[in-house]
Amino acid sequence: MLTNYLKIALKTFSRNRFYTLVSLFGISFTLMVLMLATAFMDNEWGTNPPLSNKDKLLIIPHMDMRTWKRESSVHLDTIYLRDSMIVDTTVTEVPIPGVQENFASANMSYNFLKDHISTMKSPEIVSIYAPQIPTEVFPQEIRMALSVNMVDENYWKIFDFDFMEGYPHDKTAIDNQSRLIVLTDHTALQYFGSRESYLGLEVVRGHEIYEVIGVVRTPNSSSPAVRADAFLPITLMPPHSLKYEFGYFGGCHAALRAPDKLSREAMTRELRQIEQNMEMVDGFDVMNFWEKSIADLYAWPVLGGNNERLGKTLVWIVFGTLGLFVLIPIFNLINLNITRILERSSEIGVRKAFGAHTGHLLFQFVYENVLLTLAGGALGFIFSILVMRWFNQIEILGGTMLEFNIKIFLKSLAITILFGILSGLLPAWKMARKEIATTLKFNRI
Amino acid sequence: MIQVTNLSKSYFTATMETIALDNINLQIAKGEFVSIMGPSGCGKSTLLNLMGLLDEPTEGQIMIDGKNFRHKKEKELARYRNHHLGFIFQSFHLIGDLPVIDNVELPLLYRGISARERRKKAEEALARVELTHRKARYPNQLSGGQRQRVAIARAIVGHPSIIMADEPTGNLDSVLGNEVIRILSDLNQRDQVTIVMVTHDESMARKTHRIIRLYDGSIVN
Repeated sequence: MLTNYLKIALKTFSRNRFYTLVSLFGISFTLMVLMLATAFMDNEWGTNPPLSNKDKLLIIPHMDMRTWKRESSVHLDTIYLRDSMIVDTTVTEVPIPGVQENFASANMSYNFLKDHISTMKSPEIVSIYAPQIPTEVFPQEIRMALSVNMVDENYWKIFDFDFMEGYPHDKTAIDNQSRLIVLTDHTALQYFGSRESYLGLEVVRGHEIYEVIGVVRTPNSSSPAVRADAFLPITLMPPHSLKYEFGYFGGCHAALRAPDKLSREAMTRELRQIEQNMEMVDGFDVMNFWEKSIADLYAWPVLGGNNERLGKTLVWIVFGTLGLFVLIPIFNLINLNITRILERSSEIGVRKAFGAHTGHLLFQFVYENVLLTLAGGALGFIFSILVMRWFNQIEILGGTMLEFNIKIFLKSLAITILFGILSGLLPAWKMARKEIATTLKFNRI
Repeated sequence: MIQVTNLSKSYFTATMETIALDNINLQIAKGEFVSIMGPSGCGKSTLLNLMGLLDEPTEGQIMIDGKNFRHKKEKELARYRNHHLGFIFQSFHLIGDLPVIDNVELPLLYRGISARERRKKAEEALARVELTHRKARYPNQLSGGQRQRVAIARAIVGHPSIIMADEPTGNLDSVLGNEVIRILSDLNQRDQVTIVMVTHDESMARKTHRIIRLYDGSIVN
């Protein structure tokens, strides 16, 4: 039976070449975009190293401190003493909660995070780091800009970088402000050229020399928590970068890892408690942590919402847009398929007359459509690979390299087949339900 | 074998009702070769479609071999047609994208038998109509008479007990038409296949056992 359907499908496709080409183009282009989007989302939001634990993580990149407006009340006491009137004036200032007078927001100071966040009970582990500090080096006297993450020993426990050689900074290196550097493989290649090993080599920055102790695979994610060219101990940061001497501000972020996914909310609750119980300094009345998940961090520059968590909103927007993007060609294909199937009314009538029921016909037409969609999917797959290579070559995504792995392939295949079923089902259903006598009135050979 | 009782068929639009068949009663015995004749629009094809379970009557019932087919489910009707009925159409209704042998095999696709067995039966049916040498051709490579012979092979490949033929010689000249009637008569005499044939052609109709004449949706003889 499948051979019969396959023969008919191939004949139909070759008979209506224009329709077939239009369908193939529409399917392959749509699926190419879907596959690229899936690859991109898997890179950014998937549980891939170094963000395999992303579902357990909270990042605190920022906090704010506010001063409420004051309401002044003046209380006058009049005293008569030895025929003189003495007026005692008392001015009381009462803060008006919710009415803001001053607002400041920034990263947090290293000492503040060490004293109040590292001691939290709900996280399994806490890291303090300063991401994406720009710096310049001059290998062979050629300027090379680097983005450096200043990290502590826990950073490597929270983010599971893939060490190609060497090892991360340990507590001793951090405490001793050791001049030890971890590079990404791209940076090592750029700085030193191709080598069998980079361990023990030296990176020169100004008057400082850093020994390479590890090389990690360059992360594909653009998340600022992990996206860097090199990693140094946070204790090497100058004091004014670590603490601003104003409020609790400084230049650091915190990364918190919960014991499991469900405990992440417990960390949020504990942060709220810390805010309420914190002793305020420098005239501030309240403070607020801007804790975010990895997805929220991603949404922050896109959707704004400083103190809001908009990761899920961004995901809904992206999926909604992709869904619409897929629906439009599905509707177009449905229209094309209705026209195509109408031409085959006679065949439908004959098949039904000789014993086919609606289920047989549905299967046949959906099978034909899935074949066409798989052909379009194969083309889309090839286009995706080519476009992906081109994107990676010209670094159109700012250094994020798209990868095609078996997970992406299977998801794309599932989308392709679903596409074929959805766009074939409705037209097939419409025609298969027609009365036999009616369909036999359409005549074609 | 076929018993039609108080059969009526009407078509309804928003404003009117068209009566295609009005209170038809007839019986066709097993092994009979019957013609249905009448002017255009008298309901011949409608009656054939109803007896062939290709359409649902408005009123009345159709019994074939003692089975009542009113209000039966689509799958049951499809299965019965597949196993017991064969159809031949005026316009042949061959599937142009398939070669002759695949066209003949078509009814067997829905019987769940192996591809080898299907092919064997299809070749036997083609041999019966003397078209084995054309099995790899496509319908548009055949003459009108050859196409109708392929259609006959398709109709008999499943060894049905009843064949419904709607103007099988309508698109053929008299020579080819006689050839088709010869094949049908042979089927009827050798295999005792009951044949119900709609025709305009009096000479063809006289070669059958009985002629049923319709006029304005009713039997007149």
